[in-house]
Amino acid sequence: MRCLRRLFSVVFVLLFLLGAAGPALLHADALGPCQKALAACLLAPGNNLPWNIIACLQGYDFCKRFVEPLLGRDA
Amino acid sequence: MIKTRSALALAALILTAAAVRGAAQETIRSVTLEEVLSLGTLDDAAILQWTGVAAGPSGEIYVLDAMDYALKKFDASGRFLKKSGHQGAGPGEFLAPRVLAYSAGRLYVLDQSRLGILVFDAELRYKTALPFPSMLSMITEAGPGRLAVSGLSPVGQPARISILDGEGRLLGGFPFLDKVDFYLADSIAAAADAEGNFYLAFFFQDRLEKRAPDGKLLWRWSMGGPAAQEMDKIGAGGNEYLIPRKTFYKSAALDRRGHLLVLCGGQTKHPSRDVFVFDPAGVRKAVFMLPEPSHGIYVDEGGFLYARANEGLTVKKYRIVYR
Repeated sequence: MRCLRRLFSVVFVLLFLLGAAGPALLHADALGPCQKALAACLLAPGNNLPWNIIACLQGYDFCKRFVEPLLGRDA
Repeated sequence: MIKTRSALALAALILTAAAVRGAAQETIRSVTLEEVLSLGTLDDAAILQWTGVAAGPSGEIYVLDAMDYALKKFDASGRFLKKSGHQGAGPGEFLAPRVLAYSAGRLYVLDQSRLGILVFDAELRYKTALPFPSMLSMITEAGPGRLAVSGLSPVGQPARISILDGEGRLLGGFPFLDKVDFYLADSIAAAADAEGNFYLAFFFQDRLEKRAPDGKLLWRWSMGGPAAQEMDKIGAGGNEYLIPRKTFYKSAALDRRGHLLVLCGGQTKHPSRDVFVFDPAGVRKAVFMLPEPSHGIYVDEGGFLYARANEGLTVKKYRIVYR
């Protein structure tokens, strides 16, 4: 039960921060999870507009805050 | 009468100066944490994944739970009292709740996917959403009923802290960067002292600052050494951006004695665990380590420190012991 909850927690954090990241990221294996999510966000249609870029960066910022303590390294 | 007032003002000035000087001259040999309370365990569902914590004047504790899309209230002994909110974009609902601040009986929530500031009363009743023209990433109390907020800006634009009253009216503010040199250069955590000074901790820069209420720089501090930022090229085709990878300072809080506590990012020996302690003059007095990595730290009016445990399932409350 404890292991499951821990695992669920970690997976949840990654998923809710990664959002719809997926096929667009296959080229980005060297990147951390938050960097991959950011790449997907920046590549999404329409997201090259200044404030949409900021919205993507905002997700990256929060992702780094919450995921790095889980991974113990750059995310 | 005038003489008496002058004497009182002089005495107050001397006492204030003595207190600040005392804090500046204080020697701290070590800092340890004594756990006094734990909210949420691996075996219950009290907290699923918390992102923000705050405490009220009677010791009640408010927890922003991102995974449960809820704001939760616990009493001073850690007993769960109530929760508010669920997933959605309606009044009092959350899509991606991230940051929590408490001031004068109100709770203020930043949601990554919603513009503005969501406001709840101390009983978790949703009150309103304060409008703000751009996305916000930082909110902190700047005196009773006053808030300091900031958000990310595009490269080349200035970065500002805005001061709002509890109704969202703009009271003032100041630029803390004349120009954002690279994306996320303006990502900060902040804390405000009783005199209205601001302490800024830069997430993607090796930079801590103290600024006067009008924004004037009072001091700046950095770790120095081999801690330069590294950039990665993120994106593809024509949409490539240089994005910083290293994180330096994640969170800032002030204790009752005027010490500034700064949670470090990934550039110290214990990532997301090392906490630097500074005096008001910007002299680093000590370093201590959180028992577990955390995304942030919070210090309540009683001087107790709150941090993450069990990968976000638990909020731990500690007494800070200075020796």
